[in-house]
Amino acid sequence: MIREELKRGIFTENPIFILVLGLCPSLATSTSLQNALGMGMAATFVLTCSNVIISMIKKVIPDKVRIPCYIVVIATFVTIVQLVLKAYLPDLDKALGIFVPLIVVNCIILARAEAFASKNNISRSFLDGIGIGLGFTASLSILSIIRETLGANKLWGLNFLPGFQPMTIFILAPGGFFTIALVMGIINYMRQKKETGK
Amino acid sequence: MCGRHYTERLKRMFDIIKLTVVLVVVSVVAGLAIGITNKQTITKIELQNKLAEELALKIVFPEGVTIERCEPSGDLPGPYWVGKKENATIGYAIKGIGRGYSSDINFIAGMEPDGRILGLTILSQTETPGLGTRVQEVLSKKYFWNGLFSKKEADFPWFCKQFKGIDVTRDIKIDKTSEWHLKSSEQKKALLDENGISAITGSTISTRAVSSGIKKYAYLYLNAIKQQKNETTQSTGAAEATDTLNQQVTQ
Repeated sequence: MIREELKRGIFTENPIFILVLGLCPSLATSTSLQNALGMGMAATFVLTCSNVIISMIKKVIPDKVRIPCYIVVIATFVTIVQLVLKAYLPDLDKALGIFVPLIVVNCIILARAEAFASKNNISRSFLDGIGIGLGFTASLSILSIIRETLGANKLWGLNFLPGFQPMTIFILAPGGFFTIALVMGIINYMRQKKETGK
Repeated sequence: MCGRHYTERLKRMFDIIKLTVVLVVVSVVAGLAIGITNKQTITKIELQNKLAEELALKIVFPEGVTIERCEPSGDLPGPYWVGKKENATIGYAIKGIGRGYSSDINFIAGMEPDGRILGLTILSQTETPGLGTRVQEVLSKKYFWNGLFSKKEADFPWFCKQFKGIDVTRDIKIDKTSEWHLKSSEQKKALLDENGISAITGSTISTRAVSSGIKKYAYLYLNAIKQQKNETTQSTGAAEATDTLNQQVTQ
């Protein structure tokens, strides 16, 4: 079960390339590998926690007000994470601090709460959170490696190739769209080929 | 008929009350949770901020300067710091805010009494990652294959570095041709001569936020400090005058 859930989150239901969710924070944070990993980890943590809590309270929440309740749960979690990071882990806060507020508006988390955690038990929701979170982190890393090397001639904040003139557009939002479209196109092409091959 | 209608209305009312109660309970629990964490963490957060502030003050003043904290007077928004070397005031450090693209950019700037910036450091900001956040970007000279596992070089963000020597009493030009760290030393000097800084590519708003924030707060503080000084010199002058008068009287 664990393997299936993780595989589903990373490959068959990859949040960025297959579900096409959370493109706004993806554009913003896939500009460098460091940012991508930071955002990925922070989002994975909040996603897993909010999935578990929403799965726990799903029976008490009436259908009509479920969305406001989910939003309140997610926002509470994000705020608590932010405060704790600021107080006890200032170095991590410096690295992740800018991504934490972005998580509230990350639609992946709300989408998983609505589509998965509100219908499944706690352990499956927990695994779903980790799987989707890892998928998000992996996709962001792929995007950021392409964008950082092409757009800034850097990788992990260090210089990449001597003498290479970077194309700044890849760091900017349009380049983000180009990269997402390119990777998504390759993935869809491979999927189609596999399906027709069978 | 009438009875059924009545029970239906009652049921609907009960539904509405149930929804309201659930929402209220969820919000109250969430509010309590945030309130408790806030209370538990607030002293610790203040301590961390203070530590960061002390570190920042060491950066914005040159070495070997003793730093004194001054409480705000009049309509100043916060404390400022005086840097002294052998009892001579060499500059002031002020804390300010620039309204950036998506956040407040908090900074501490050290400046000479006439308005020349000694140093600038950014305390906190939540600008767009990869764009506005580069106000704090530290550049590396290493290539990734030899630097990935080695220690980070201690360096200072280039964006803040370029503010050294800028005169805040004049207009600060924003140059968009190329980023500061890509310029040659002659270009850097020319830029400084015309009181300019180079913008971060793709985030002119964050760049402008810092430069106009510094101008605004420097104006506020330097004026207030000057005024205070004038008042004290006037009052000491008056005291001296009365002293001489008294002496004359006793003579």
